[in-house]
Amino acid sequence: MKTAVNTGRSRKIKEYLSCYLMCGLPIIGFLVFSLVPLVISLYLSFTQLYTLNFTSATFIGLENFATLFTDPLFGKAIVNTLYAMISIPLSMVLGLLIAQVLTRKSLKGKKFFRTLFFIPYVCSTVAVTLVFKWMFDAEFGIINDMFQTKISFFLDERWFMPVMILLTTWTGTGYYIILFQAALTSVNPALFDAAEIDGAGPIRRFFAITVPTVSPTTFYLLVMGVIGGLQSFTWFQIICDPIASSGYGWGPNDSGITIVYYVYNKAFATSTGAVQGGVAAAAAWVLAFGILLLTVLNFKLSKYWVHYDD
Amino acid sequence: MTIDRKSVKKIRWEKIGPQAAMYAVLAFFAAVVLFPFYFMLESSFKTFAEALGEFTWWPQEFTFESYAYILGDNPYRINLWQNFGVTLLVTLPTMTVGIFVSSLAAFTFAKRKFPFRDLLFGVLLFTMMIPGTILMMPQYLIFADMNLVGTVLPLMLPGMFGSATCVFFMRQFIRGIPDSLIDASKLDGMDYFRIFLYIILPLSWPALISQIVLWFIAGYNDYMGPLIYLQTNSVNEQTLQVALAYFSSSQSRGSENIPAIMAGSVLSVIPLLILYIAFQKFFISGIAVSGLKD
Repeated sequence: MKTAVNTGRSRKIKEYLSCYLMCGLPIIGFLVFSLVPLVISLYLSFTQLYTLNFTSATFIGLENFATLFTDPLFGKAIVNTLYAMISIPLSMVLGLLIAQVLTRKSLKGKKFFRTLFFIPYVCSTVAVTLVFKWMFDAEFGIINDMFQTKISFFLDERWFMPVMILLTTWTGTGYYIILFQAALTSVNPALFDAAEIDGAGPIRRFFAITVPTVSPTTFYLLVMGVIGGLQSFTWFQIICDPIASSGYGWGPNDSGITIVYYVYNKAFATSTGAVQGGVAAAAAWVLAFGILLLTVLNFKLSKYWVHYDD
Repeated sequence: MTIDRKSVKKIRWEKIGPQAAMYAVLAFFAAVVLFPFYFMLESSFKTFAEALGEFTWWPQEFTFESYAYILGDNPYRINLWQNFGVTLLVTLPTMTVGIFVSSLAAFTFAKRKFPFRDLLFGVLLFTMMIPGTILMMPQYLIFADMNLVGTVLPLMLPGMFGSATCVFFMRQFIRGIPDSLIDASKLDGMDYFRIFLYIILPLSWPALISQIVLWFIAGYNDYMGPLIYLQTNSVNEQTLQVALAYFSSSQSRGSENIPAIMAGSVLSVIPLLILYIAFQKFFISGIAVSGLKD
C-alpha cells in the first residue's frame, strides 16, 4: 500500500519535473535577459556612471532624475516623441477608410490592393528611411522637383517632423488596414440592412455601426501604437545620423531627438562623447513609467468608447 | 419612353459613381505607396553624376554600375553579400532554436497541468510588457562584462531562450489541437517530448510557418541591436541593415552616392518582398497577434 502511494507521488514529481524542463527555457531567458537587466537598470538610475562598465557606478540617489527634469533636451525629446505620435490617429483614420473600401463585395482586385498596401510595413526601416531621406533632400530630391519648391525639409524645424510623420504613417498604415479589415468582415450585415431600412445614409451607418463595431480593434491598435510610438528611434537615428558629415545632428533645433534616441545618446555617447549611464537609465525608467501611465489611462478610458459584443 | 431611359441611366450612374470613386481612392493610395519604390528603383539606375545634378524622372543613362559598386566594387570595402551573410548567421540559428524552444513551452502550457503553471505563464506575458529601451543598456553592460561586445553572441543568445510572443502565439494554436490525440499517443506509450515532436509540431505547421516568417523578418530588419553590439566592428562584419545605414552616413555631404545607396536599399528589400509575397497568408495571420516592429 505504502509503496504504491510513494510510486504514485514520485511519478507525479517526475511528471511535474518534465513540465518544468519543457517550459523552463523561456522562463530562464526571462530571468537572465529581462529581470536581471531590469534590476540593474533600476539600480543604475540612482548612480553616476561615466563608463560602460557597471562596477564603476557610484550611488547618487535621485540626482539623475533631477538632471533629467532640468535638461531642456529631455523636455524637447518628450515633446518630439508625442508630436511624432500624430501618425497614430492618421494611420487609424486612413486604415479604417481603406479597409472599409476594401470590404465592398462588388470591388474587384481586393487582394491585389491589400497586398500592395501592406508592402511598406514589411520593408526594412533602414531602406525606407534612406529613400525618404533622399526623396526629401533639399537639392537632389524628387519632392522639391515635383512641387517646384526649394525646401530644406530636414534643416527646417517646421518641416522636419511633418516629414517624419508622413514617413511613419506611410510605413504603418498597412498594418492598420489588415487589422481593420479583419474586424470589418465580422460586422453583421443584417445591422447595415436594418439601418438602411430605417433610412440611415452611408455616413450615418459608418459612424453608428462600423465605428462602434471595430472599436475593440481600434483600442488594440491605439494601445500598441502608443507603446510603439513612445519608443520610436530608428527613423530618427538614421535621418539625424550624428556621426555622419551628411547627417543632421539631432535635427534642426533638436527637433529630431526622441526619448529613446536621448537614452541611446546618453548610454552610448555617440554624439556627445561622454557616457552618462545613470541619466540614460533614469530616462529609460521615466519612459517606462510614461508607457505604463498612458496604457493604464487607455484602459481606463476604453470603457467609454469600446464596445464588446457579449 | 424618355422617362424610362432616363431612369435606367440614373440607376447605372448610382452604381458606377461610388464604384469609380472607390477605385479612384484606391488608385491614389496605391500611387502613394508605390511612389517611394519608384524613386528608389529609378535612382538606383542612374549614374553618380546624374543623381547629383538636377532631378530627372528617368535615368538618362541607364546603368547597373551602382549594383556592382555596392556589392563590392567600392573603396569602402562594402559588399552587401557579406553583410547579408552576417544577417543570416545572426538570424537563422536563433530563429530555429528560439521557435523550437518556444513551441515546446507553448505545448506544455497549453496541454499539461502542473503547479504554478498560470503564474509562470503570467511571468512570460509580463516580459512582453517591459519596454526594450530599459533593457538596452543593462544588457549591453552584462555582455560587455562577459567580453562579448563585438561578437554576434549578444544578438543570438537571448532569442535562443525563445520569445514570449512566440510562446503566446503557439499556445493559442496548440490549444486547438484535440486532447484525444495526445491521450491516444500516450496509450501508445509515447512520452510528452515525442508527442510534441511527432504529433504537435507537424500539426502546428501553419502557426510555425507564420512564426518563422515573422521571426526572420524581425531579425532581418533589426537595427538597434546590431548597431549597439557591432558598432566598432569593420563594415563587412555588420548586418545588412547597419552596413547600409553606415554606407549612407559615410558619404561626404554634397557628393553622396545616391544611386549606390538606393541600389543597396533595393537589394535589402528584395528578400523581404519575396518572403512576404510567398507566405502572405501565414504572415497576415501571425501579424494580427503581435505586430512586427519592436
